[in-house]
Amino acid sequence: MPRKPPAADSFRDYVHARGAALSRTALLLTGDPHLAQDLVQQTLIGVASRWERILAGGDPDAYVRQALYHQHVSWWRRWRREPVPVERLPEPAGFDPYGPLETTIVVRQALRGLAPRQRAVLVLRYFEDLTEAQTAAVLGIGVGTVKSQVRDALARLRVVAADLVDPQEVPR
Amino acid sequence: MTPRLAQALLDAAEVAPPVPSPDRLWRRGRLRRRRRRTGVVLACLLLITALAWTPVRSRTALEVSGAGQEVLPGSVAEPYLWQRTLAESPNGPVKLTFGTGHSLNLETALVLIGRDDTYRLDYLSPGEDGGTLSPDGRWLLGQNLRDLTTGETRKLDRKLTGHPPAVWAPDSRTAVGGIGGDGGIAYGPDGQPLDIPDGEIVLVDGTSGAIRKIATAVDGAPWRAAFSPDGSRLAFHTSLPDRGSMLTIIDTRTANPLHTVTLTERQRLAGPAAWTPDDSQILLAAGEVCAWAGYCTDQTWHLQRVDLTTGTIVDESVRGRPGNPTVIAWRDGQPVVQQAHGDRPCDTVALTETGAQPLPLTVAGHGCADYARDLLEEGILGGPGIEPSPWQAQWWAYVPVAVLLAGIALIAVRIRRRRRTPTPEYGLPAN
Repeated sequence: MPRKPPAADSFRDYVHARGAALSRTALLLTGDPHLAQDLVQQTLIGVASRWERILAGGDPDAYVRQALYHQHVSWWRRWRREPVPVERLPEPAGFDPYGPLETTIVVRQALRGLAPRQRAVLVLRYFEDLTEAQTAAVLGIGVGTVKSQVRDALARLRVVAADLVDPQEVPR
Repeated sequence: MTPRLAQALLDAAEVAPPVPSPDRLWRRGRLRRRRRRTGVVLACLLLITALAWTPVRSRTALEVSGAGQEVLPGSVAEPYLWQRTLAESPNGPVKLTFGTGHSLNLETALVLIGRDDTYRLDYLSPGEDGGTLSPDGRWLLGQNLRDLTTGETRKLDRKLTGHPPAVWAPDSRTAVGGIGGDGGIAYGPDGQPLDIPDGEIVLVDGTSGAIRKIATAVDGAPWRAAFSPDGSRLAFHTSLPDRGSMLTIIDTRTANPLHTVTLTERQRLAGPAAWTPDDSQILLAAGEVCAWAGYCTDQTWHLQRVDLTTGTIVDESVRGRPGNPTVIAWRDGQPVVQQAHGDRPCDTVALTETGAQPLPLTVAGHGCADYARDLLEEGILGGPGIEPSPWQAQWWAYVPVAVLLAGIALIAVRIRRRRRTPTPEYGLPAN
């Protein structure tokens, strides 16, 4: 009979398997590689401190995702009152469908123009491909709020990066 | 769905940073877990401690005793170290006082039990005596006069020595105490004092704080006194090996001596309540083994009655009473005596013709308690035991309690927030 791996081994296996996905989500949420790395690290430290309980729940992904988004919101709440110096206001960016590097810059700039919750809603809906109900569950908000946040976020994106959004996709 | 946005997000996410080492994450996670668990254990311990402090217990004791105006508790426990002080919040008139070592200044403190069973502490200076409680429980006379209802100290014209302790008249309006000499003692070539200065025995007016000389005594010599029931006369006993043992009856109004009775070294005035309530006799304690100044450990004693009309002294029939006695009150025609013992706590008994009846009065602390005489003579004895409330604390003791409660509230809020967040049932996107 195979011996059950200890908790440390299963955690290591989980991070190897899911760490990259977490890191991508974190990058979209924060818009900064360093912040993204910190966000993943803080989230996974918290996960490691409760790993046995999370495993007993049967679905680590759900817990980890929720922890990541809540950690991000928590950071935002803590730092929102700190002023961010801006030399000049960013100009509206164009979309280059042929260059990933340019796309990265454009998307980051566009996401930075959104409120943190709007950013999270977009990432959950259009990157992680969750339904509105699932998005609402992760963020701990109502489905109606998810809808309004998506609408506002897409409307905002149309202003700062019109090419990212198909005109007909902005809900009224 | 917006295909362009989805594709753009996928492209932007491709440059995500590497994930930190899982082993390092695991170690830091375990460290956080240990800290969290330690915090929880500490919080639980503090919570249990706080709950153990709840005022319910002391309030229950108060209610059972009926906040008794006329009840003396069967037992009195030690105070908490942080108990409120007399100066901070006076609780007089009080039922009783006693000395305790539960004191933050590492000296003996005086504990005062109010009529509402509240505790107060009065910190004493090194060597300072707590003072003698007046029969009505309102005044405390040590070196100066303290009003226990207001906490104010009334400075006397001259400080009392406090040794021996002052004695109150039954009406609580007058007391007798000692004032030391000027301290100028001349010594001969052999080192013996040539002339010991006399100290003064004074009457203290409890209302005005005025003092009036009523007798003289060798400075530092032991003396005992007892007022007559109406306070008009004072039985004053002083004893020195080379000057004899004299019991003098003094008119307190004129300070004139009325009678003098010569006693032996084995006889002494029995205590501040030695004068019988019918004004006919004065009680003496007669040592059976040695002179009282000898302090022999196996001393036993019996009562003697001095007839004030004839001057005759009559022994009681009982012999071999234990301890070092002090008659402190009269109850149902029987003298109430505190017996101090070297090897066990002080006990209080009512003397009968055939022996002694123990009274249900047990008090923690050092030595014998000082009771309000009125209450001891007319109150109900053996009421429910009392314990101090930890919430009758000095102001600074509330600071750690407030920090503790704030911490508990913070933890409760965080737990509540965490529980309110639902757990979704789906996975992360595939790699």
